[in-house]
Amino acid sequence: MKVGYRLQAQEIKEQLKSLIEQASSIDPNLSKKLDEINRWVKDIKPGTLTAKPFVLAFLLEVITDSRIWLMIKSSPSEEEQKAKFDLMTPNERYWYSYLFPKWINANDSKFYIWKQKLMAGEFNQEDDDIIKAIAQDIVQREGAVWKRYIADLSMATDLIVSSRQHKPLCIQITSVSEEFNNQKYHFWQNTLHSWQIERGIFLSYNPKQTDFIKQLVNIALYNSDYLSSGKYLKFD
Amino acid sequence: MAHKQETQSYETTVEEFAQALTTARKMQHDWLTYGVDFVNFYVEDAQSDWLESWGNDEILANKLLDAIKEFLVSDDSVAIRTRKQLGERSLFDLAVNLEVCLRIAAVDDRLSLVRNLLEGEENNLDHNHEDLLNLAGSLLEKLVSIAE
Repeated sequence: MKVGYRLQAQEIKEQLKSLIEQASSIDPNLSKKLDEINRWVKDIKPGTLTAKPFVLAFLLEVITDSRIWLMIKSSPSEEEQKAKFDLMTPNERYWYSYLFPKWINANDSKFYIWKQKLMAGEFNQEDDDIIKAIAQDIVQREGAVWKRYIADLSMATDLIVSSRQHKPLCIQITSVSEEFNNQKYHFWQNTLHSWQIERGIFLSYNPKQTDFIKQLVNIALYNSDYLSSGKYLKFD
Repeated sequence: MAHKQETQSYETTVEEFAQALTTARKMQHDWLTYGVDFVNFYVEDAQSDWLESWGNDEILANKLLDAIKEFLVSDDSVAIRTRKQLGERSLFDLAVNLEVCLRIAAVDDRLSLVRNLLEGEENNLDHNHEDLLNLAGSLLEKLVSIAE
């Protein structure tokens, strides 16, 4: 996928298939995961067309990440592998050296609910817009974000955020109006724990409150610098 | 000299890697700017029926394979001649190869490919080459009508 070149949707499938093949010798577990994704997409018969761009975005991202991972994995020496990690920002390094390989090698129990989640419209424009607005604000205030669908779908993480001290923090953002908010919080805690995520914050917002984005960003940036290791925090 | 080459290839791969990383960053930046609509910058026909038809070719291919298998075990005279020609060789393998041949091979190459499949690896000197070509032609004709 080169910058500036637009693919045909059919090519996405071809790229996925060629990655499945490539990965089979470099990282068989990734090959298996991609194969699962291929079969999963085949089974999606969308009831709602709004899900379509999300599936596409997800596929583009998985392809990009898999390609990056295979390049890292096939480095001929440790020195070269290190040179590749050195090119990354702290968030990217956290993702590609820690969380993404964890996902590749894990028996992801939440994988089966992806389809349901995507189809149930759990990905909708409104949520995406709020997460986007938070991410934009973080970037404007010289923080950094990394957003991954896999983190969202499997690891209850909407964004990975870091600030001045370059310490990646997993954040989950949810509306207080959401039913089962408490249940969601416990689910979030367990999920982070199961992925051995060191630090995380769970942010509830009230959409009726003005300026809630700014407040959430303050909390996220501060905690990325100062939250101690092994802590999960909830903010209402 | 060897050292120089090594250094060069090392630099190339790190450079390639940097490009891949740039793509990932650009993609995220585009999401940050445009939301999920960013996919339209990467995929020309994002609105087409790509999702609905994902995997259709595989399903069709399997249907074709099933139809070929069914034909090969039928009472059709061409199927009977094919089985006789095949002798001890696997009917299933032949079906798989024929399916690939129909799906992938250029139309002009099909006849000689089917002939080769029927002939197998051992070159039986007793063969009447004209008979074999004839059988290949009839079989191909049947397969094309099945595929339609």
